[in-house]
Amino acid sequence: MNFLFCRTENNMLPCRWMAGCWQGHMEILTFLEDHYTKEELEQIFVPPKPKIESLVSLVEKAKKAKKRND
Amino acid sequence: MEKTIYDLDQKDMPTHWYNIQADLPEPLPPVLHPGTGKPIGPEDLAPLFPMELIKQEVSTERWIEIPEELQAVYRTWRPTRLHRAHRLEKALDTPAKIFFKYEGTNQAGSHKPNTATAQCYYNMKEGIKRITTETGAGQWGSALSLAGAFFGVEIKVYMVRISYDQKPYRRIAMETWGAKCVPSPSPDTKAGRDMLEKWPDCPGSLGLAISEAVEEAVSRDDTHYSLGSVLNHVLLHQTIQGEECRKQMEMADAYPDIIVGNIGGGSNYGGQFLPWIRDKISGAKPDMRVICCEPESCPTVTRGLYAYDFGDSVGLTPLLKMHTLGHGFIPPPIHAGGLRYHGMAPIICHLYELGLVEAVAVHQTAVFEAGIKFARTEGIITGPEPCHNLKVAMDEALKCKESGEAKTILIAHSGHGHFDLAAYERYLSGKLEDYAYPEEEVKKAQAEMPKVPA
Repeated sequence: MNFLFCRTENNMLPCRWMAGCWQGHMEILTFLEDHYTKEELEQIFVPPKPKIESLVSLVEKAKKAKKRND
Repeated sequence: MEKTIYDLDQKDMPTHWYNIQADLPEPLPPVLHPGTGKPIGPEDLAPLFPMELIKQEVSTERWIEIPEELQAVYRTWRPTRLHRAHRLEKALDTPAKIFFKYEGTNQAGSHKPNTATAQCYYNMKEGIKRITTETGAGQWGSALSLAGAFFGVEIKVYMVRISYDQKPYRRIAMETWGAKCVPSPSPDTKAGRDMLEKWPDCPGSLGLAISEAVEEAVSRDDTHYSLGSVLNHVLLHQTIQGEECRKQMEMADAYPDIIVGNIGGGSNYGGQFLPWIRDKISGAKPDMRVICCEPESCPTVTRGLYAYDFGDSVGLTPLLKMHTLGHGFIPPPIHAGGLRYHGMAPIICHLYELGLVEAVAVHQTAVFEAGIKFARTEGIITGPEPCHNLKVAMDEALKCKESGEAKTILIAHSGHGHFDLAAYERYLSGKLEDYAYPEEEVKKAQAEMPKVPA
């Protein structure tokens, strides 16, 4: 897995697993603190939504986009 | 002669799935709609799933018939074998009787086709021509591609681009079964185009692949979407494993004292133990133990809280009660594949809270050590997820050695690890490390959880 992927996996933010996966290879926590705001760091470590909730949210979003296109 | 394999005749294959919702002492807590805050209803899921699956999602009927046309497809690999692990028992020098139900012998190599074929069948019956889905490394995409080939449904798989480029074998399998596999982000959807415009070399993510698959399903009348874990109807389809196993254990004149399985999205283990747990609920087998195994580095059930957790940092309405380690949990390195998935199946969380199942967390080096022992005794190279079960089952067998008890242990074995050899390589070369999440960190993460009345 490359570093670029891990940095962008989470909607262009780092994957929430990144700190753990890279800790043996570099000072990852310092890197994250240097490159992301406090708000972004909070967002990174938020657990993903439960699957069914994500699906319903995505359906609503896609329906709205379809309506706009129609 | 020691009997090692218990094969069920195809004419005895179960004809119904078992629905635990009929027997739950307390119903599942509702899932709420993110927009309205009201329970999610059939109309919310209709753009994605056929009505028959939506009915199954909320059904409280105990038995749901498996259509004959689907049974015919199941019969291309089912019933799967129940094995008695005599060689492992001897290696452990235990009086315990160890059985395992192995789901790795079908065309796609895992338990996933049990639901992939069912979902494809119901879509086909309702006139759906195409199904979209997302896949990371490709296990689910493979199962659905196989199912599409069986039922003549076109499958489109959005595969995370980095996996598409770097892990081609499952992609080639999907294409061999006739699926269209595209790297995500793709130019086929607005979500993909927006990303490619901003960043042409984007390596993709599972979240983006889901967005693309859902967007395409919602925007076309002939297309639906399919998911391979977590949802109630997915676990329902998997119960054919446990129903078969009940008959096979009867052939072996045995009944499990302990059932061991790993929990992530819950589909394999749920399918295996739900058919047994009705005996515990009814009081017929109150002492049977059902053990869920999870990684010590991500101890969601063993050390998490069962609560409504906000899904995002801006604090929108919490929608689903589940086990969580809280927002501050920073996951450590782990090589257990799907077991680091956050979204535990709601049914399994609920059964744990009701005290009907227990949970154990194990370290990953011990997990792979067990996988190696199993490979060298029973011959199967096990996927990283079910290796957790092997470890816990071996621990229970060794307790029997100490106590002299000849308990019967049943292992849910979801499939082989032929596409996961990199994790074995890390173990064999001594590069895997254990990590236990510190208790103070767990407490800190949980202290930051929202205060919401349950």
